[in-house]
Amino acid sequence: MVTLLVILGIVVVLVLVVIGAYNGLVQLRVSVQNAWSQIDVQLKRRHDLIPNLVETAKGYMAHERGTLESVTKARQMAVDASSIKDKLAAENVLTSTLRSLMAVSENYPNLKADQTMMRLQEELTTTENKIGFARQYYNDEVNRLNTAVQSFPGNIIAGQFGFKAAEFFQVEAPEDRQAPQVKF
Amino acid sequence: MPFSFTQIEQEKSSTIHVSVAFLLFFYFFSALVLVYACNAYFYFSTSDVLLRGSAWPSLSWETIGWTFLGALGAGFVHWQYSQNALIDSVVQMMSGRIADREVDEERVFRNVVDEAAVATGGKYRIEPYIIPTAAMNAFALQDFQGRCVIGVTEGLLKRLNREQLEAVIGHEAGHIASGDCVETTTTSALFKTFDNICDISLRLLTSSSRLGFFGVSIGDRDRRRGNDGRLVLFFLFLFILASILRLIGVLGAMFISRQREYRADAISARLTRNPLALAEALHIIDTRWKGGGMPGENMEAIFISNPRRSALEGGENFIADLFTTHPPTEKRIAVLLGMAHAGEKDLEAALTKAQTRFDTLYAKPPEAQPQAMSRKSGQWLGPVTEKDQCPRCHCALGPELYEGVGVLTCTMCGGYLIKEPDVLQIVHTREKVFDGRIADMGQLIRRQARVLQRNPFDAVYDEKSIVCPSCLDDGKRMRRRFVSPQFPVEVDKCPSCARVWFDKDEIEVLQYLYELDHPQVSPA
Repeated sequence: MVTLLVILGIVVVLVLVVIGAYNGLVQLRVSVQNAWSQIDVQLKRRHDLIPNLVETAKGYMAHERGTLESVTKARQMAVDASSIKDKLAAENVLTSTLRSLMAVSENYPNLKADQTMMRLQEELTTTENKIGFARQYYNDEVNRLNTAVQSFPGNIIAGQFGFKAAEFFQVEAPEDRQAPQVKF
Repeated sequence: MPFSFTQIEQEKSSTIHVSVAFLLFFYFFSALVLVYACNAYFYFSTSDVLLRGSAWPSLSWETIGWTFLGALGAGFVHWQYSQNALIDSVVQMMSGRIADREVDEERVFRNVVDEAAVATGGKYRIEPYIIPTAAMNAFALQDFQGRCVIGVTEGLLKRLNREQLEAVIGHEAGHIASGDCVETTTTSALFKTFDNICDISLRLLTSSSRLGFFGVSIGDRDRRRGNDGRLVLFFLFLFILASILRLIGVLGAMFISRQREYRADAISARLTRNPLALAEALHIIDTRWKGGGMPGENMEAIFISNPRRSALEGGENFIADLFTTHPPTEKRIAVLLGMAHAGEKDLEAALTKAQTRFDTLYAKPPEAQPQAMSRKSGQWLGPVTEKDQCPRCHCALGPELYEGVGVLTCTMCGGYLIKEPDVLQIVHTREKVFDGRIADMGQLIRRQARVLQRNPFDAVYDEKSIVCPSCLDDGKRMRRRFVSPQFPVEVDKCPSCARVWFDKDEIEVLQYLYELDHPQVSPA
């Protein structure tokens, strides 16, 4: 009788542990999805800004047709991408083309002084920052999920119920957001 | 490094429980004293001596229980009162308004606040508020309903660049994200209630004693005036109680740890990956007027930098730790510089105050450094001399003719060193055309001159003041002050040689204000 009770107790505890771990994993997965949708919102915003930006820049930098076209092309690719992996790759390309556009625009003082351009540039800056922050948050959440999925006893439960490790949003160039170094 | 990111974030505090428990205890105790006093009063006023059992009355457990319930009730009412429309009342007190999307700087501010909200994973919706004053400060508020507000002053928006603003907002968002903003807001509001009670009871006390009763008498001696007397006594009791509590409110700072500022700095640095920008922003804020004397200064705990100048704040000892809400800015800057690897390992120990300033300023634009040794024309000035250095940038000041008056100016920061009589001459000459920015700032200062409660620079002689570039007397530093109550433009004045240091734009704003007041002095 006593052994039966003990066994019953162990089983109950085990079931409770499994339920708790399962719910924890579900919560993590939902928060990763949520974090991704945050990024998606910002990426879409960037896509919406680019046609305006290119249009405004065209008037001032007719000689830089190649740069402008590459931005437009990269944007189209990013819009068309469907899987998360493709999206990440396309967005990274878009980021680098935008950066080169901004670098080139430094040579056009008239463009820089343009009121519309200044506003667009501010909007682009804030969107880029938001993408960066959303990415940080997304990666933090992915980190939590992956840790939970890979460590014991989460790995057993994850294997049973089909939880997979999520993919990080990596930036191509690691020097993107690095703290400035001061030299003495 | 004593302050790494993780260490600081790990620190959690339970300020709010402590202060609520403390207040409850206080209510209970004072109610107990009150009940006992009443009992004793009736006990001794009973004329029948034979009815008295012992010499002193005692309280039954039942009474104590009821008193406890009463204290609980009072605590609840107090809580409700202080938390009701908390954010609105604080913002209104500082006459804040929502940032305007149509104004360029304010749109940037809105964007930066949105960025901070994204960085917290979209958990918080943060409202951007603007406080119309030329002072420099920023604050965050959060109530129990989860409503968040980040506010900055107009002076701050006008003087910081985007990166510095991002760092400041990151700091405020750090307060919100780490949860100590709720605590600070509610704790400040709890103790602030006593300020109000204190004022009201003082007013009632003076008005009721004006009715003709000044002495304190209890009992049968003067029945006719006795009622009056008891009323006065009641108000007096209320006043004393509230005064004690107000004092405790000052000590309320005790509950608000200095550590949280370090923590918020660290979170900001982690968000923006730019600790240097925050160090610059803190330095700029700290050398300016931070809003002392304006309404809202008594909620010091919510601001990024204490608006009141307190001699205690510079201290590092236990007492200073206990009674102040903010750590010394030099220390904060040193920690941030350490995060940026902007110095030696033992930077915070080695860096003196002056060096910290020097470093933060020099770390800024690399292309500006060659200029430090030469004037705008490119003319070489040779090694920097001790005398006539810019008190802010430590580069040589150059002579310039400003409206026909010889002044010294810094090409890096755009400040002016002017002899006091010459200031008058410059102000009286009218030949300047002001651009919109100067006019905006002038209008702002004019508006705030009306709400200013007192001169914020009277109280403390400030260790943080700059050394006069002309006298180089470390003991007699320049004094931060307004030009006059009528023209609240903040300048630094040397007590020995009467030279005045104007930071960038300040002399123009002063001229603008003067010409606003004297439209037809001279046709010029």
